[in-house]
Amino acid sequence: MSHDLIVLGLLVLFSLALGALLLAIPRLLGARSSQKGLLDIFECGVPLRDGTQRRMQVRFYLIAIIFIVFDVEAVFLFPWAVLFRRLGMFGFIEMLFFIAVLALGLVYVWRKGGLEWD
Amino acid sequence: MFEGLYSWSAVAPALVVLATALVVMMTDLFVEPGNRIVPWLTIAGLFAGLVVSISMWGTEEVAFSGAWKIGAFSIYFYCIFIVAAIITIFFSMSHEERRGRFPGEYWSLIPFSVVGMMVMASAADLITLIIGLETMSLCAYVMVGLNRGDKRSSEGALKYFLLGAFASAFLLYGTAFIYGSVITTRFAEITVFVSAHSNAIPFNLQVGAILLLVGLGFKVAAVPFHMWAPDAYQAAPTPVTGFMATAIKAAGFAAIVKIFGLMLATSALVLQDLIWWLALLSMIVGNFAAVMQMNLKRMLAYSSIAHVGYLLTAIVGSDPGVSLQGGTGVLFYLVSYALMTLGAFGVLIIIGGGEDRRETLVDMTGLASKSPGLALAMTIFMVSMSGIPPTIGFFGKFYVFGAAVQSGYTGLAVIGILTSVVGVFYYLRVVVNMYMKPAEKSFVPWRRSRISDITLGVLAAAVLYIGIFPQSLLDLARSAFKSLF
Amino acid sequence: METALFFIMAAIAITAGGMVILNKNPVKSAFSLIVVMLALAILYMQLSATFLSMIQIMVYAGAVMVLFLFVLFILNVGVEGAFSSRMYKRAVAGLVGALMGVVLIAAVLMRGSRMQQLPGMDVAGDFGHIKPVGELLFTKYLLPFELLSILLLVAIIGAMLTTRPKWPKLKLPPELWPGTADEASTETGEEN
Repeated sequence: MSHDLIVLGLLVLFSLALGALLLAIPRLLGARSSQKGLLDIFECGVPLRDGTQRRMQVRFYLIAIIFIVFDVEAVFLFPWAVLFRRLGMFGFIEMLFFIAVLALGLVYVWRKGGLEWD
Repeated sequence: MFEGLYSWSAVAPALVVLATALVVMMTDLFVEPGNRIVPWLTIAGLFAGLVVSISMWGTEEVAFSGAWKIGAFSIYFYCIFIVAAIITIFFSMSHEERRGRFPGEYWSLIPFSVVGMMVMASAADLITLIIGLETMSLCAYVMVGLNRGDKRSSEGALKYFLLGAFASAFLLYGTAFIYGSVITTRFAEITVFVSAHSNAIPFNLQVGAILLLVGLGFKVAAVPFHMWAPDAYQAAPTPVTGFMATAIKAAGFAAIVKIFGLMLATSALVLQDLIWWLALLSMIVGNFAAVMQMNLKRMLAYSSIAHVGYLLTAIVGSDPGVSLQGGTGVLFYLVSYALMTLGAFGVLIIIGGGEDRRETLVDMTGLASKSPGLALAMTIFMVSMSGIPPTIGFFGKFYVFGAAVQSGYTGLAVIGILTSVVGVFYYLRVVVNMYMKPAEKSFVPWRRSRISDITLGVLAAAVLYIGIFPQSLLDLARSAFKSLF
Repeated sequence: METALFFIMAAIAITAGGMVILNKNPVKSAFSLIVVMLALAILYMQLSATFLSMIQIMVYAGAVMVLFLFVLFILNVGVEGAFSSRMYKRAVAGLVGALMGVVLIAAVLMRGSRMQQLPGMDVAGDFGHIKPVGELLFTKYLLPFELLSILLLVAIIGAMLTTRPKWPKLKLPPELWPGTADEASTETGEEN
């Protein structure tokens, strides 16, 4: 069992405890209201016409894909950051090329209106 | 630490094409949609790439610590890819004038896919090869789905995408198995390992090799991994279909020749029997299914499956240590197949008039009286595809089957010749329809385009010229294959 | 301690994996899948594959799961809609799953006899950590690494092209306009 894993385990425990704490505090301190109407869907007093589950627009998909692409890019930044000093100028130029190509992708998405909703 | 790791000269042709793709992509963003400068810029860049490639003929260099090898083999393939891309763009421009349906990105997707193919042709490393293949395939998936209003087209594109992604999983899994048993992904090191352990090939290496064969079989549409091909070919806009049938298939075979014709070409692996079956099934299924097709794009799709079978015939049992004929035959055949297939799709593009709707056998009736030039060109391409002299297709088949006979697979060669006879039937049926039947449908005249007429004429002339003087191309193919080892 | 951690994480992964396929609500299945991914990330870390573990959390548990959920919302798969009511389809799926299970178990049991260790297969102690991975990435695999940026760029273009609702209109004379809706319907009608 390495030292790193103990630190990581503490981090996991801490975040779990924090989550539990944030859920527990309002339970203990907050005022409780248990009217049934509170859980209903609000639609200006008119009876509901259809369910809340609707087909979402395909634009969400585009955003998710772009998110994945830049997420993968970010993953490759980690090894470079860890080795930054050793790689020096060489690594910097390589990473610059990598990011520049993807930056062109960002320019493309921007100009084509992929970041606008309408 | 990093001295001598990278080499600009080794990647120069690919860099030129990549720069073209990036510049075209950026230009498209800042001009109004449909501006003709975008395709012309692509052609100029691809042409520059072609010039750089040809000027490097004869040089040989291994770079990026063994992940990349440029030599006559890669440059031979570069020329196929770039010429096919340029012709595709010429056809697309004349195609588009009537419809205006290609989005601006189309013109950059073609050079991007060419970059992927170039990576495949000069990769000396499995990971590099797969990344090149994925770049090419992603472009292809998108281009197949460009007919967005059409449900049939979307269906074909989706099938192509799902099966293609599945095939990529096979390739990656196979690579993992090979890495697991050899601890390297470099072709050179794997070759050394295989020849050193030829009496006891590790089980994992066998599994990995079979998985690679399945993955690449999917990509070139060899039976039984061909299911997507007819639908995808029919779904794509016709210029894209021509590009898929030629450049993408050639890229797949660049990988197959390197991996199965060379790296894993040993009888210690069970692969040879599997490739034998793939070749046999592809020839039989491709030819007999093509007979039943009334739609010419579907017919050409099945015929391309049959041609994959002929190509695999030359790879079965080819031992480059004994004879160069197998690999040389494949390289020669790829050029001949590219010329005649691009020509045949070119004719379909012109008479289809931009809507892709005149693409059945019935639409060809009476073409000879309406447009004798087009009919003559189509006749040349069809005769060449069926392998009748004096066309390039005859010599292609001659070398490929000759290689099979030489390596002791006479039975396979005989089956190849017999199935080619079936091929003659459905290719010449097109010619019969053009010359001997009166037009069944009234023709809506299509607008003539000088670019596509000239391109078609050049293709037909090349098919005939190399069909009469094949020696110089054969020499090029031989020295290209020789440069691999 | 390490063995205990392994078994706890394995149990969590298997339980969550079961919940992925047994839940009737596809959204709940997707959330169970996140738990599977996180448990796997910890198992990877135990194998000292820290880089892989990090990718597992960032890319799979993060981005890919977001994509999964968006796709579920876009397709609007209902609570029952994800399940096929056809009995034979379930039977076939069960058979395929059972077959794969048998193959996997057999592979684990046979590992001693079939997968011989070759000379030179020993790996360095820090194999899989970010530093050695980065060193490989910037030396031996520099070319694939740089090519990856082009692959990702093409992926962006492809995503944009396939999801854009409408392509920008061209300034063309009316007779050259793209096919209208009824033309498209006759086109699909001619299918053979």
